[in-house]
Amino acid sequence: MSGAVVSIQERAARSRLGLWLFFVTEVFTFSTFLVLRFSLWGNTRPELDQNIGLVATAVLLISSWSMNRGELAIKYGDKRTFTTSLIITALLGIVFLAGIVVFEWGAVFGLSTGHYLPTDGVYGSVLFLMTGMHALHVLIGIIFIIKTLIDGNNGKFTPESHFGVEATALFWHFVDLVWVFFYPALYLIGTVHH
Amino acid sequence: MSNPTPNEKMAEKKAAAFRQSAYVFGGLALLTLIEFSLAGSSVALFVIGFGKAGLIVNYFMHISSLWSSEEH
Repeated sequence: MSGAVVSIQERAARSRLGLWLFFVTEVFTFSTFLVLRFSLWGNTRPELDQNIGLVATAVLLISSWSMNRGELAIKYGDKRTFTTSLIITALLGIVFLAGIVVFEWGAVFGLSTGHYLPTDGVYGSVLFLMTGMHALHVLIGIIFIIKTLIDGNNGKFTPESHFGVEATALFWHFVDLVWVFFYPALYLIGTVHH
Repeated sequence: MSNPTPNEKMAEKKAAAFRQSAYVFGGLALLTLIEFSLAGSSVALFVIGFGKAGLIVNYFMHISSLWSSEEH
């Protein structure tokens, strides 16, 4: 046995590479959905509420910013900003999720009837496939953020060693990155199909 | 004029990092508004989408840390 000791930085570098390789596999999955959208919808799009799309996008962008602030805060030893930033990020994630489930899907009876059902032909099925898979990632991201918040408040992260925060932030930004392409594909590209 | 102390230097670096984060967010917000105003124009929307993705991958996801030994 060599008995080599792997430094915190080295371990973080290896974990970071593994996480990025995971993102590559995720890109394949989400790209397939985009190909499916353009193949089945062509240069048309379903009639969706533009306000929901814009507000959801804004909420996710702000959450990405607050996540970045949280990561920077732990790097500079500012625990208070770290905690408030992660709480804001988690809350915005919940707002995004609730917005899609309630207003786009109409899944909560009495609040909104939604625009399509998963059974409404190619428009409904592709819309629910894309937003559903993305919403699942948002949900997982929120769980990671809450876990990171608890760990952070238990003193598990320091300015020198905080890969857990970095990994959660990377995942959250990846979720935002996917929406950067899904938003125009669902709400903006093509002519409206009535 | 006295040299800044290590604490002052650290505070300065932290402020600069937070400022850059705000600028990136501002850029993303601006591009989103342009995107919204260009609804229907596929090519322009794709170009803007890749611009936004570049900002996120470079500044929020620190892709350069994959081949740099420096901690971000």
